[in-house]
Amino acid sequence: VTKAGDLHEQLERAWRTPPGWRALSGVNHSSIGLRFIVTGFVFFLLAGVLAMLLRAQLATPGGEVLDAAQYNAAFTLHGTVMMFFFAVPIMEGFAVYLVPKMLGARDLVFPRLSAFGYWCYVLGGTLLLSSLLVGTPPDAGWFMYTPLSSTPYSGAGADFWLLGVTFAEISAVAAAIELIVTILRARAPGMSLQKMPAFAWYVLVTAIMIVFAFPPLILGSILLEVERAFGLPFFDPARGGDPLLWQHLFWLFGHPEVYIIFLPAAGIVSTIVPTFARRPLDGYELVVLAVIGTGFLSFGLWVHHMFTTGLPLVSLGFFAAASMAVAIPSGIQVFAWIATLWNGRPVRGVPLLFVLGFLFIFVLGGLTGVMLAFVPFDWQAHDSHFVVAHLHYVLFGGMVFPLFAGLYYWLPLVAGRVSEASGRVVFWLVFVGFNLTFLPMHLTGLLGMPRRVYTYDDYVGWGLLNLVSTVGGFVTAIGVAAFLVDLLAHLRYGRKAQPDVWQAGTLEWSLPHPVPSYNFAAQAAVDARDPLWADPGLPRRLAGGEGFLGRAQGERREMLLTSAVEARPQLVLVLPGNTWVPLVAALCVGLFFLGFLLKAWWLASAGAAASLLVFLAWAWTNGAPATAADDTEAAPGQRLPHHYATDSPPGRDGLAWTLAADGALYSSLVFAFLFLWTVRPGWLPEEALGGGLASLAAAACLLASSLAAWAGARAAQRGQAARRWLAWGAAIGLGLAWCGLETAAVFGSGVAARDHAYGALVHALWVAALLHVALAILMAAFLLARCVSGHAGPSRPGEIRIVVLFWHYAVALGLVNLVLLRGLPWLGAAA
Amino acid sequence: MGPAAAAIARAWWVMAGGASLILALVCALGLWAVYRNPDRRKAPAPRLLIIGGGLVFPAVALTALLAWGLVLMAQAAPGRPALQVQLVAHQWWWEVRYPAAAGAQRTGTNELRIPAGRPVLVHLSSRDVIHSFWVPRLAGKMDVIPGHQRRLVIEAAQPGRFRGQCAEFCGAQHALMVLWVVAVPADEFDRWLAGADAAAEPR
Repeated sequence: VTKAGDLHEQLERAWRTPPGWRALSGVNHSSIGLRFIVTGFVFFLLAGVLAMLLRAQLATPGGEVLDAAQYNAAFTLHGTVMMFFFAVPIMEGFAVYLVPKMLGARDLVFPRLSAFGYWCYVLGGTLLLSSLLVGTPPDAGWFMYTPLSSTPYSGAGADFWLLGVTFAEISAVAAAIELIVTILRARAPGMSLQKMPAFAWYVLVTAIMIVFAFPPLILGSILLEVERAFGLPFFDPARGGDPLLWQHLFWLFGHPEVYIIFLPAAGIVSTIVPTFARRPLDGYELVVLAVIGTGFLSFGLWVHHMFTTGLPLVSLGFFAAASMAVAIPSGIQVFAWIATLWNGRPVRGVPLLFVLGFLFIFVLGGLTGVMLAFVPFDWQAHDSHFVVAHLHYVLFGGMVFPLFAGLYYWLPLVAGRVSEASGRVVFWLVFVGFNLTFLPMHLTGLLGMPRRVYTYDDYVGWGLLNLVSTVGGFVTAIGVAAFLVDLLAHLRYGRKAQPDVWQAGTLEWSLPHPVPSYNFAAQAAVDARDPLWADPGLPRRLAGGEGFLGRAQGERREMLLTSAVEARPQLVLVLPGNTWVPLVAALCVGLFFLGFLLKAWWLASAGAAASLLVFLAWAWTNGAPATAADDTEAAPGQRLPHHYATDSPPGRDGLAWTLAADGALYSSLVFAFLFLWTVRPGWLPEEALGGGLASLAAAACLLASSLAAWAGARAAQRGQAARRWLAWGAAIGLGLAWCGLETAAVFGSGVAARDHAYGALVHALWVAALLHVALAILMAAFLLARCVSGHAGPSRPGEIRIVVLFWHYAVALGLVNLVLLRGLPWLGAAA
Repeated sequence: MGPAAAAIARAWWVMAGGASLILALVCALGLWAVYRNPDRRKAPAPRLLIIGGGLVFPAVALTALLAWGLVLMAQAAPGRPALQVQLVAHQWWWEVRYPAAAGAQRTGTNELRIPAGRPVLVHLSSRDVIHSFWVPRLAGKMDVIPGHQRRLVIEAAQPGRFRGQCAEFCGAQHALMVLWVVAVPADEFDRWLAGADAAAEPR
């Protein structure tokens, strides 16, 4: 056995996902990424079957394939499953699988979090689809507009939707945080941001968008579920709420969502085009700027889904301008791809064919998008089949075609085999079928056919166009079936792939096909954007263990972390191995959701308590005691500290991004309060919570607790045990005092939660702040225990920094609450 | 067709023509870039192509389009036409209330009678969930949202029957929530509203 073979075996033993049913305890990013992709594809097929039912029903006037209730449930589930359970998760699956390999890393930085996210996704999808088994599927549309989705008009189906989708969104946010921290901290040494593969830029921007875009919908779903379960009126116009609040929260999520789906797909295109053009991406900097620009602009477009709601013309004009402006970054990317191909010497292949199909369909979808940004045209086309056609051009063309391109392109990494020309058949079937379905549908919409109608009369003259669309839909379905056949044939009979089968330049192609579980036998240092084109000898050297961490350390999983901008080697991360904790945690969270669904509050409480315990157990296994080695040799002659011995472990970045998501969630709640206050005259009741001495005392408690936490953290870092106990004790006491004061203020005011949206929001804000402060107190107690056990202290500063950061954050929320609920109304009354 | 719908239709044809040209051009460039023998074509300056095609051209075209759209929007702002009717949306039908004349108020169901050639201000409100008022051949649509009052001006240039349909998904029988707008000669409408012309009762 050679030395390289030895190393390979030892690393494989440390990193592999166990066989059989124990594979469910696997946390390796390749396993998790593939699971996301396969599960996402299964959801794609399910939602596709629903689409075929819809098309069959609409094929002729007065169709009788489905009745009204079945049709409404089918289109609701089709949209919901495609958006939340196919498009976002499968793209995250691609990112989870590819990003570490492209960055030259061995795994993502929080492997257990990716596994947890996967299980939340699977359980959320199961919960949603179980509504079909009990015969109450959601049927209020994937956009769930209130009041149709509220209590008198929707049954349990709406609860299935709200809980299932929220469960899955936890997964999206978890994966996003993980990808951000990995991209910023785990790149190969020398891979500065300017040398990062374009795909990683796309994923980074997408993940940051998820962190800020998903919370508004999560908040909206929580409020709607609370309105349905407990009668707190957030959206009920008769009690101070507003249906438009739901629309704002939904589209604050919903428009970024479109780009969250599109950008990773465009990242696939920006990866495949240079490979097939045999030259680096032209205009790399412009493309990166365009992607960042898209990310920003996408948050300023949401009102273009609300052009017909009667909003003031001034705001319509603003959002029309933003909606048109977002075409520019897309244009830059399109011309960068064309320029790269034009300047290169393109070789042909199935992935490039799908890219060309994408180009046609996506540009057409973009152009009809510009038309819809032309407000008066939108007044006609909105909620007609024209929009159905447009959105499928953007999403199916913009995302599914690159998805197929990516599947054919990266399959050799997974299967070790290379695709044959049969992929062309798949392409032509899907391409022709898709256009046959949706090109005529523009016209159907312009002839006046609204969306979401289960039937139409003969005399309106929409029959022929609908029949053509249905035929096209079935051709598309045959194309997808052909893909499945092709995939199985590929896995079974495909030609064995040579290493770097496409002669690409990015690091994932330096790996043997199929890829080993640890990715890199040694981690590379790079100094070019396409490292394999710059240094063709790199794969051989890495396989031989030349580079960083080119060694095995028993069962221990090690990988290198680098600085965020320049990617200088910083520390060695010791990763957890396979564990059942993520699955158990997701199941406990699932119990909470199930309890909510069944209105079995004991079950929901038990689920919440069990989740908390599992998360505490999870946290307890982090880090290392003070007796463990502080540093290690990362490369010959270069010693680096272990992550647990520094004050900037990846967990701190993880917390910072979690707080960004949580802050977005809380801001959405603040937005709800300010929105209703602003749009509904006389909304704030006379007997609003007062300012007064009690609120000053509450503010003083909060500020003093932050001071005490700061002192406690300092004492812990200096190893001063007595001061540490004293200061944290004071912080906890002050936190508890604030909880008491706030609770007394809310209950003492007599503001009722169910009578009016104001009271409902007072209670929501109070609960939100209370939960944060309670969690901060729990974390402080946990930290004290960790100090005693030696996992936190002078040589283990990371967790101290994490707890104190969360403490200050919770205090900030409490202060915002005071300003919002007491300060502003007091100012308003005084003015 | 009504004047508002006609203006939008004109805009559609202009945009459809422009979009087809752009689509053809981009696809031609893409095919040229992939399939033309690289030895027999000149390489472009990438930056010029990217900035010219992706930034300058769309910026100019979109600015012009935006300006036109804003002008059209301003024209669509509801004025104060003399005739105002109330339209109340229910799951799944439309209730029509005409202005009271001579003590009696005409009402109707799923049929809105208007005078041809005269703008009519429709006040929209909902009794239950969100609906949307849409008569494609007369004007764009306007959502009808519980807790909000909305207004839309419609006008039919000629007498005729114009089909309208709820455009916001509103529950089980959303597909059947149809409304007919019947435009009759103005003098006939006036007589009918005043209750003088029994022959003009809704059919």
